[in-house]
Amino acid sequence: MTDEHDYHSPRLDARDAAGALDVARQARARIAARAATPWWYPPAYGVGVGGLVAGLALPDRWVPISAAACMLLLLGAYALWRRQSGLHVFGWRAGRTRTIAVGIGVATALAGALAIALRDRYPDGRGPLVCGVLLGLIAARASAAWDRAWRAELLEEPE
Amino acid sequence: MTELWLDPVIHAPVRLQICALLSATDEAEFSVVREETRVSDSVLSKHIRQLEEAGYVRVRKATVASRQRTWLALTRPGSRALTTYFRTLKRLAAMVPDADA
Repeated sequence: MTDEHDYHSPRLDARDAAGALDVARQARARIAARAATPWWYPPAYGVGVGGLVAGLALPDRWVPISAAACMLLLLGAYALWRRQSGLHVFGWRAGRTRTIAVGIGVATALAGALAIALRDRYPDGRGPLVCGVLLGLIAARASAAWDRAWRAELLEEPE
Repeated sequence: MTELWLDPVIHAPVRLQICALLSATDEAEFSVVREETRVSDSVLSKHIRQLEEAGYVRVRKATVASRQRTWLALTRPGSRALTTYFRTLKRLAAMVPDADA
């Protein structure tokens, strides 16, 4: 399968077709190998997401500040990974990872709602703090699971 | 030989690798694609231009810390064309036992 020949005459036999599929498969596998998120990413993601909810334990005027700090942490962690890997992947991308992304969104909404309810019940702030810590642990694990699911997809037959 | 049609824009090995790499991400840096395809800047640029002219790849330039970075992405038509291309290849590849007979 030569470059020039195939550009002008895109016909090939079954063996060439299997070879071309293999070329594509290997290219995607190389991306999967280089795209593994670093060890610090899931914990940073967990702290960022969990912090959004745990921040509700703070006095009212500090809540937006802590939320902004958590958003900065999340964006900063992603920007650093993108810079290191040279890749950009949307968390909401189609595929098996979408289920995990939806799960993180639902867990965050539920933890946020529960934290607000507990905040009124326990003014010392332990309610939102516990919700935030639990959500952070879930988010960190979900982040690692998202990464594994994405890379597993890359190793499958290209579609 | 078979009469099944394969998109000539994608079919060249380097362009096939570029499309396969980009299909794995939303965007990839030019330098990453160059490393993974193991071709020179000029060769890669030539193939990217062909893909861009076909509307299969989008090129975006961004300056970060006074350094210009080029990001590449597969467009929606490019993604559709690649899917069709893979389907055709799979149909062809399934004929291997017959070819050996």
